Amino acid sequence: MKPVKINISDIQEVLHCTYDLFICSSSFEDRCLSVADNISVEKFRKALIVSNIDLIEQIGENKDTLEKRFGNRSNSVNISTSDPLLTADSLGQNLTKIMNDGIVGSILLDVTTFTHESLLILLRLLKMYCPKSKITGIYSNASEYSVGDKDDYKWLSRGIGEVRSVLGFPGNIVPSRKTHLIVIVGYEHERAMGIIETIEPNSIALGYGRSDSTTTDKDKNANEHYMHLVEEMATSFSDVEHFEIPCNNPFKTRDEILHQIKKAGDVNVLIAPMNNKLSTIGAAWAAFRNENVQICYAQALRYNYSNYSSPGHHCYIFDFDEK
Amino acid sequence: MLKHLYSNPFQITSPEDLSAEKTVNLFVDVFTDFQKIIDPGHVFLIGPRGAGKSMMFRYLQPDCQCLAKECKLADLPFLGVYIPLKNTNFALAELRRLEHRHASDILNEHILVTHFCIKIFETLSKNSTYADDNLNALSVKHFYNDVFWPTLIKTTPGEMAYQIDDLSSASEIFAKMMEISEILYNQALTYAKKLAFRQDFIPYDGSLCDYVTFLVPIVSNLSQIPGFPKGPIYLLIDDAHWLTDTQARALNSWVATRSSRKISLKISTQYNYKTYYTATGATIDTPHDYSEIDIATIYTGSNKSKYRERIAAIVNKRLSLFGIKNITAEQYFPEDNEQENAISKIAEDYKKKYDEGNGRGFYRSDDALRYARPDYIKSLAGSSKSSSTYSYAGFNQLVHLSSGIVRHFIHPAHIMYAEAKNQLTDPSKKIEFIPPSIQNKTVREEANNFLFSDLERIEKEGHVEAPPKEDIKRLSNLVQGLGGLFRQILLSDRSERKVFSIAFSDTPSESVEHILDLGVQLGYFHRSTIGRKDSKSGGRTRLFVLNRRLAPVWTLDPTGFAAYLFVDNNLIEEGMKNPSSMLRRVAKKGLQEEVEIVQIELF
Repeated sequence: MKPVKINISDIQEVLHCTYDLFICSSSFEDRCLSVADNISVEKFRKALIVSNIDLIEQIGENKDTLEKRFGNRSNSVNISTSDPLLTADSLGQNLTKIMNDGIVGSILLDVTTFTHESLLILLRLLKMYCPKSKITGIYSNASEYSVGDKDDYKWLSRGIGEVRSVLGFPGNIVPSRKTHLIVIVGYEHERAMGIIETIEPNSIALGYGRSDSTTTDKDKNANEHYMHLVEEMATSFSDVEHFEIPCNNPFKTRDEILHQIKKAGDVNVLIAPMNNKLSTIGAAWAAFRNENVQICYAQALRYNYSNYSSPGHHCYIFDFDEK
Repeated sequence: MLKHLYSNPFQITSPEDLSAEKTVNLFVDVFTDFQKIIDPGHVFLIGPRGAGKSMMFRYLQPDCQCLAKECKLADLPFLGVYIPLKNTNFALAELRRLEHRHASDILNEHILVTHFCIKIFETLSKNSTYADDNLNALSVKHFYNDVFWPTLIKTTPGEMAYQIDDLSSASEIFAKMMEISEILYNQALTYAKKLAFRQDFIPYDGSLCDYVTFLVPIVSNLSQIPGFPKGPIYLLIDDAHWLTDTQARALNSWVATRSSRKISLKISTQYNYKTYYTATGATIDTPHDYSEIDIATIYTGSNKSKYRERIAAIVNKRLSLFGIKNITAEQYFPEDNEQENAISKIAEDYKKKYDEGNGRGFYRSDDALRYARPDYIKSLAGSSKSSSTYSYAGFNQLVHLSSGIVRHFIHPAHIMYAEAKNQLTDPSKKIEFIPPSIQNKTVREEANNFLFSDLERIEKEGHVEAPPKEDIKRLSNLVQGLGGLFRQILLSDRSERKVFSIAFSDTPSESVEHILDLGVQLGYFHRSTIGRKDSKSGGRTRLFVLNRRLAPVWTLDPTGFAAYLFVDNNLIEEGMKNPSSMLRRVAKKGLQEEVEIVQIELF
């Protein structure tokens, strides 16, 4: 199955059915409004607006806009970048409450501006609490990242804090096995380097987005960022495995990651998804199929709040056939 | 054969993945500098990434020791067992559910103890040193029946049955003990995973193993197996900074038991080890409970000259194993001849002045060593404004720039070699030396990356309200301020112009200490001590040494002896807030007014 790419202005027309629940995340990126602005709130019985309490100063305006737009349909869900337990508990309680209030047969999940970690936790919770719901995913693209910066100076986040496993994706890590790290590389080559240097795996595989699958309008130089990473890694890893993923297709990303896991053999496999949210969903689905795999996340010290991205003109729509 | 494995003589390979033969071939013996590591007793070996901690631990393992000492396992003075803690399970998000509830201390200690057992028995089952020609299967069976099994059943509820009667080799029996340890380990991990999305209490019905009643009897009785060394067992615990606060407190409690006569805990960590408190709330203290070795301090202090010898030996071994023989480190990393000739000429002038009775130094060569290179840098900074043409080429300068951390020499050397190889028209040719231009370009880029990529760019557009970002901004200011200040001193006419360190003439404030500690943790400073300026009765004060990797950012002279500054807290506070204003004020008032420069080292 392939996600459908449509103009953002056509969402209302393409998504002709109604949904019991809409889930989205407010963000310092204006992209968090792209889907909500182009769809009628009448399509939804309920809406969960997820907000990061650690970034309330940066996201406040967009949070208010979203909550206002969905009015009394909306429930605000507080999550935290520094406390995954709070994120899990808050999301879990809200999902349970809505499930208890009535049947949730269909969900539209706007994955665009969740953090990778909160999205992964949410996907695990949906698998646990809403196994029978029909979930449709939607992802709106960016026209540009690190807006206005020259190619050499583009950045999305700086520094890494704690490297930890993602709650709900602990895998089965056996101390007597060697560690193989699969990094799905995006723009953030410094952050990717940080996670590799912290984990110091025995072997690594770097997955990067195929150029014909880019979801960003101006994304010509992603490969250069990737090459920086490869060059930096050359000192410590004489043999780096490379593979391509289609950034616009979580199903194929899942299959490619599963292929890489199989190739790695009898080792502990860790995945660090650092490209767009579609590929992160692919990583989650791969981990659902192989529960021995652990997903890791490196918290950024800071994000490029003011110029992280500018909203694009397209979005990708796909059905979850894997929960 | 090694030539085929490495495409670059300066490839960095994880010591864990090195065979005993390769380790012994590559290792340069440093234990005269770190005697406490090979003596019985608990040790914390502290140093940044790449300082050589894991390589030391690899070399202390029996396969390497038997090869190096050309002796049998039984003849070794100690048995070193490697316990890597670089495992993401220690930071498992699910374990956070245990914090402040669910007997967190006990379950985390169980995870640690069983992790140790897995690694110990894995080593014993897989390493050829413990193969059957060294160890008798029957003796290992006795160990299993008399020690392992009775200890195990005390900790584990319910019935257990693990037969070893059909196992005929020592390695198979050790593998069985590893398998059992994995089962115990997984009991706690499986329990933690169940807690992921639950806030209610679930009873734990698995086994609980602790250090005193489980690990100590098992490990200390290993030496009873015929063929094992009779000396103490060294648990070589690598990367303890991976542990959570709770796990670190458990490990500290083991240190506090002072069981080092039989079991010595050799613990390596980076500077961010979580705590030195124990599970009971007491602290572990040096030297009562353990010895502490800070690698960076040792190699940036009085042992600098030894460090140079170590690096030369490492370079020679690596080149030789790569098939590049009969060349010294100095020849492989040649200086910029034109520049060095000019500096030599200035040095000769100083010696001449000394001979004429106009020298400042005690010995004839003092002034030459002290002023020739700074004078040359100063001449470049003069009317020609060409400081950036100063070349950092030459083995000696590269050693100084690596600032006591082996990897900070090896990593740029790897880049230099790759760059030199790229410039060859015939790729099959060997690189017989690294051209000075490539050396200089590489270390200048590395210095800029170290400062600008890792610090300034984080600080740029920093969100000032958030403490960590504010701290990074203040650290960045301080580094830039001190670099600028050291540059001002280098270009001055003072008698001491090479400065890389600061000490306080008064008491540093809490915030200054905090930022300097952060700088040490991130590798921008090394910590050392010197005699107090105002103390008539002795006593010492802390010294903070700027990492010499940064020297090219301000075209500082990284070589030879250096002096330190006595500064007061206010100056550093100002530097953290506004380095430009601090530098302007110092320039206006004159260095004499603001700082006192004292010479500390000469070699």
